[in-house]
Amino acid sequence: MSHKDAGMGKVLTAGILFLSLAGVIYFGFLALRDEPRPGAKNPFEYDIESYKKKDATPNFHREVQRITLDFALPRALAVAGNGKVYVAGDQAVAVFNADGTAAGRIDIPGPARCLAADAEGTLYLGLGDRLAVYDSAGRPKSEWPSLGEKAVLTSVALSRAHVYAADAGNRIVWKYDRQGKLLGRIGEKNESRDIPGFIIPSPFFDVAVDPDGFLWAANTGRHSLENYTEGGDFRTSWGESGMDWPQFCGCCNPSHFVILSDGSVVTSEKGIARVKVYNRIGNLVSILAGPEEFQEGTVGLDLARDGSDRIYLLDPPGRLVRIFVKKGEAPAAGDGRKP
Amino acid sequence: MKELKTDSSSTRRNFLRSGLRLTAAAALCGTGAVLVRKASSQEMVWQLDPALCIQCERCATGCVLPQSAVKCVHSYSMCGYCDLCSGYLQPGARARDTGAESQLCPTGAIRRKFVEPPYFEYTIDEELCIGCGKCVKGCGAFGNGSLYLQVRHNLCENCNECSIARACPSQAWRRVPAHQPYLLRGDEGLRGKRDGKA
Repeated sequence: MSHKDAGMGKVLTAGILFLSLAGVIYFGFLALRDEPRPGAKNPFEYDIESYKKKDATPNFHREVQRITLDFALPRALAVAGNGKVYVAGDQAVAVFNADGTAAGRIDIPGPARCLAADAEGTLYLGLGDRLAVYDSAGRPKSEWPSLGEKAVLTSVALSRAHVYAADAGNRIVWKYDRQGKLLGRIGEKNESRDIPGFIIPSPFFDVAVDPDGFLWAANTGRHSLENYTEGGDFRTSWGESGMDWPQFCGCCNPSHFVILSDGSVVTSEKGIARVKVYNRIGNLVSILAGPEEFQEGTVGLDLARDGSDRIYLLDPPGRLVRIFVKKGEAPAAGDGRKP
Repeated sequence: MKELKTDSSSTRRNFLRSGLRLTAAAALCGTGAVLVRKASSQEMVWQLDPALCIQCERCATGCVLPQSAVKCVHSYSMCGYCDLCSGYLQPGARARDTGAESQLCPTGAIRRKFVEPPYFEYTIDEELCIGCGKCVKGCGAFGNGSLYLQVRHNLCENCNECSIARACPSQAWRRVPAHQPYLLRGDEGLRGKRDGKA
């Protein structure tokens, strides 16, 4: 071996030793540090943000008005045939004119989780396990009997002759006449009648009546909207579970919905707070509001509409009622009504 | 005689007065001592407040133990027993089954058991749970929040300076009395408060 080769060998050995030492110091330092390396990928990360990105579905609506609420916890929303907007929260119902100005406040004996208003402004309030009726001046008219200690009323809908109350505790829809006589239970599992039964994992269970007078209910555990006749026969359903925009996300959605005069359906979801418009056969046609428009953890996005199909959206963390119209339409308030 | 009587009564009164003073002082000292002793003997342990936890994953990697003392806990009273459980299944899972590719948990620590159509019960295998909080995030974001993290005191070393508490970005860690070592949710938490135990 020449002197030159021996020198090269020493240089190589020294280089390898130096690199090894540098590596030990560097990786040892990283291992001893409390903080993860900047930019290091979290191996356990559950990235929900990626599901919040909007797809290419357009938005055919625009927000035209906001009503600020004076409640610690707004819970439910209804628009009456007289154009008045009713918002239940805390232990009261706030009343607003169609232009958003305050028109009064009705004190109620307990928190109302849901309410509906008819063409004359008569209010039907869901007070936990029972319904209470108030006249258009805010005076109590009657309180209907309790539906049992398991009952949790989460939605009220009115047809011409009936009052439907969704009960998340008993997982059925109660059917009354307008005078408060209990007429029946809708949606109980019945294989002989082909009724799948409601799966309601959380206290979000909405009902509405379509322009043809048929009852629709959100079977949230099945991620579908189900349609029933007045007699409680199952007609049809649509809806699919999943994280994509045409689907309903999470364990139990849609949390709320409202049916417009052409039969199209506006839905809201929790988990990923989003409001979407479907046509009457359940195809997604418009994204009215995406998660970026709500605070983190927003739930309880109740929906209503007036006679001009203006869409009213309750935003509980923002303490707002947000009003949307179709793009290209005048923002003026029409004569209101809620199905 | 008169003088003697006066002296005698004065002595008795003084004796009673001094006795009362002494008794009061002794009672005061005794109460103080008991309180001081109780306060100094109150053992405190670390616990994680589920209301403040943001499921950042540091509980899985920050503990001095080879496998974290933080485990997922399930509140059965809050659970919806959903078929589509957002704490168990990957979002967008192809099937609602027990396949590894369908599960959200990186260690398969959640057991799914059929109850009746369409309900399923979920239980945590604590030996497999590493406290990463991935299921907690899924359940909280889309479900009822019945899954949450707690320090298991049969495992925790109760270090003076907890290394996870030091790394926690949401200040969710705090000291709690050893006789109430858990911050439980749902009916379990309410029952604990009623019984004087957490």
